[in-house]
Amino acid sequence: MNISTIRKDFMIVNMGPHHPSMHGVLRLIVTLDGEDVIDCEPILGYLHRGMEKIAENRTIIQYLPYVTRWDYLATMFTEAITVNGPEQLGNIQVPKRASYIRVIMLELSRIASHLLWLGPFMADIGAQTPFFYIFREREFIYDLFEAATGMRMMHNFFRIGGVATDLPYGWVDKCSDFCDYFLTSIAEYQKLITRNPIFLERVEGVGVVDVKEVINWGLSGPMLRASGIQWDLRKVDNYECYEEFHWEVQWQKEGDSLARYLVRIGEMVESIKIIQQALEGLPGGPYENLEIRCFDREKEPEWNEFEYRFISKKSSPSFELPKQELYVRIEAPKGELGIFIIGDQNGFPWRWKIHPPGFINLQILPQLVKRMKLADIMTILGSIDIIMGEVDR
Amino acid sequence: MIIDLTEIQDIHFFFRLEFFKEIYEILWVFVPILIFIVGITISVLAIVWLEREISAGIQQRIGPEYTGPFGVLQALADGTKLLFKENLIPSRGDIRLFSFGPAISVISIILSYSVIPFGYNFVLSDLNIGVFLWIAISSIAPIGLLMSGYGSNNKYSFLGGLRAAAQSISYEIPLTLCVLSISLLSNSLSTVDIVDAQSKYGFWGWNLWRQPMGFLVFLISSLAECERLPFDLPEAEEELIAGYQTEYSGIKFGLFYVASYLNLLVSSLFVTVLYLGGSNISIPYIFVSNFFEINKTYGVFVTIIGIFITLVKTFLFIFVSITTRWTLPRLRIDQLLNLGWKFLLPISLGNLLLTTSSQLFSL
Amino acid sequence: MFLMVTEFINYSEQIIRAARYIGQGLMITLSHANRLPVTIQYPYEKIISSERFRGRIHFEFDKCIACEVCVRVCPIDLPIVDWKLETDIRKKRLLNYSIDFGICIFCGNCIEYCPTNCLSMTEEYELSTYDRHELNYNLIALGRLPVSVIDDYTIRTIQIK
Repeated sequence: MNISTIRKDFMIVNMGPHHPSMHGVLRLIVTLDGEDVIDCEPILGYLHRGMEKIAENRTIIQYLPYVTRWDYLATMFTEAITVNGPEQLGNIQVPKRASYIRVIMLELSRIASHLLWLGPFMADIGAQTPFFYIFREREFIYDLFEAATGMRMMHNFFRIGGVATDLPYGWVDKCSDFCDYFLTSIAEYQKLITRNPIFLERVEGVGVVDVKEVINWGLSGPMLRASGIQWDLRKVDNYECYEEFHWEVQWQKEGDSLARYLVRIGEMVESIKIIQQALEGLPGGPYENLEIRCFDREKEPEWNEFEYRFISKKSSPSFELPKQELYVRIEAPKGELGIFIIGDQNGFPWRWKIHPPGFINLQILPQLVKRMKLADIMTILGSIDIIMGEVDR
Repeated sequence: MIIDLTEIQDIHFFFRLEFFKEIYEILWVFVPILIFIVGITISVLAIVWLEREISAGIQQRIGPEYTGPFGVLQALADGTKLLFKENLIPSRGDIRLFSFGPAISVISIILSYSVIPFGYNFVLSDLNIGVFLWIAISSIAPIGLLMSGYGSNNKYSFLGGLRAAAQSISYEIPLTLCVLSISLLSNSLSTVDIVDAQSKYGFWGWNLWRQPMGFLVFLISSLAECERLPFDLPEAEEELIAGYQTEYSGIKFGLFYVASYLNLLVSSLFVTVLYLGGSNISIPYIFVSNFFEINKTYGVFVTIIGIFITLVKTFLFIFVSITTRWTLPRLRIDQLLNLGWKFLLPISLGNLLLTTSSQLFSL
Repeated sequence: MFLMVTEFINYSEQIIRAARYIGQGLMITLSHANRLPVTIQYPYEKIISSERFRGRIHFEFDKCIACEVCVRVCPIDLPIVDWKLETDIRKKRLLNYSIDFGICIFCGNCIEYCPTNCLSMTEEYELSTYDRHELNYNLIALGRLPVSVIDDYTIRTIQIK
């Protein structure tokens, strides 16, 4: 930003929080020399809601409805990390069926997130029509979510030790129908987009991040895999039951926007593969580990106090976090979504630090857009795939 | 005395008759212009409706439905709404430039309709510079855009205006070279003569077959001249919000909107006139003999048929440009200029060279 | 010379390929014009919502034991439970119960943890009013049953899949 004060013929444009392509409320202060970008300064915080502080005085079950507002396009992942943290902190086992249901939901959510990345990304480049096509497919995913959880976006479906309810009757068939249908529409997208010469002109070699940089900046997710590193937490950490399915990590080595596009398209196909395998091998059994609802503390609490448990169909949640600290991570569609929790032998977490992939990935933006054209800002920003809900939290 | 008086009266009478005749003639000049403008406005409304319906079809939506049958009156309703909307003027902008901008761009485009032959000899003014009038006048429109971009006191508008100027300058040249080759082929710049030169062999007499490269170059650069989607950089929504239109509201915004569609229509009309034989009946062997008999009997009928054929060909191109708009992504500004200067310009120059040499050999 | 020729051939091949892929894209978009629209004309057509749809909360006064679990699991402690302890029977008597749907986010926690199933979620989702205070439903408003979309003959209902 120092240059701009010296030379007067640069134009400083405020791509403010209300710009049509700023994916929410990101604000970029761009210094332009004609069409060339000299400098770019992102300003965050327009969607800050204090999610970490809110977590400190909510029980996990109270906090679960909030988390879908971090990354509101990959809602299942935020819920998954919110329950995975306490589960690993308290060493709680999840039944096999619950784990399978979780995997199906997560992968559906990954597809939904990648779809809603693809549409706006194409719209940023200028093609409006894919936006409508992806919404058509995304609606089917959300219909599946609505049938299983009751809501299209804010599911509140995952619970510590399992999921809230079992899948409804006929859901499995519906989901496998969707998988078959979705593969054909992916082929359609690829026909429409992948080899379009104008699209290639716009994305090839734009926003290149090489292997060294991508590690030094701490990027994750498709950003990392597009730069030639086969790093997928589903393979690395083996959480849930991902090791039981056959699938491949999608990666490219170019590191440009096209590589990121290809990685995401490939991931959608891989997700369909995982879902199909999970639907086929969906085991029976309980969908929630109810044992963990009992909590270890002094018996006979005073009647009608906060801790008092009434006998009910589902015992009221009074799970407490042990006095430990832990960093838990998960492979969200945007990258590594993690939380760092500190328990305090209490219903409330003492500290709840969110590691959002969008925030970490966004920090490389000023470096990538420097010496590019004005129109490339949108391509690069689109290919990073940020959601301001999780960047600002 | 009496004779004198009658003489004077006679003179007066004749004088008044002459006067009325003059007024009548002046008025008569306006009638075809008015008819043209009404026709053009109606076809712009039709294009807006088509754009909305075609884009809806491509995107699996319904499109305008409730205003009139199939929503045909939607564009009219939108226009009426824009007429009644508040006219906002940026407080620190240049108000004169801001107000003149849309008017200049609309007027310059409407002027170029005067040389388009819709039917056989059915043209507002058969100028001998014909096509070049269009090329000369269409260079005025970006000045209007630049004025409005500058007068808006908005950086996005300014960038949009600059882009519009750069784009239209670089695509004017291939366009002109294509037109030059056409005029070499038909030995005239007059649009009527160009259409006549293509009328000999029916379908096969079109300039499209003699100038396939020129046709493609003309099509691409006329798309760029209209600022349609693969080349709509001046109003690129994702980059410049709405470019030079950002600060406009009400009927001034409506004028820009109308201007863009007028431009599309005039470009498609010129593609038809220059390459597809204008109002000529395309199928040579079956209908021509039948039509010649009708030709002698009903003059009006032939004119209407001519207009109909011109419009059919024109709307074919409008359909093509609408579908490309909803299929292709947008080019970047440097790629756009590269395409104009490094691809279209050499090709159109080569085309011109080939045409000139072939004309020389044929002499 | 040959180099130039091969370069020219390569270049023209590239152009032809580009034109082919643009044509392919056009075929895809045009083939969509042949398909039926997927949109739903909302006020005239409505989707039959799924059984688990989380709409406006229904409350049964008689079942409630005023245990306040709904308050405890609610992210913002929204339900207002007004009760009085009757010492002679050692039970709580419910006086009033209200939920403000202007604040409720329909997360369904209260329904899931209610021990007596006195709370349930209906399929009603059109809650907009001109005054936000009208959204504060008391126990009578909460006990009202919603009109099913299927019963409204002015609306075309659409079942998904």
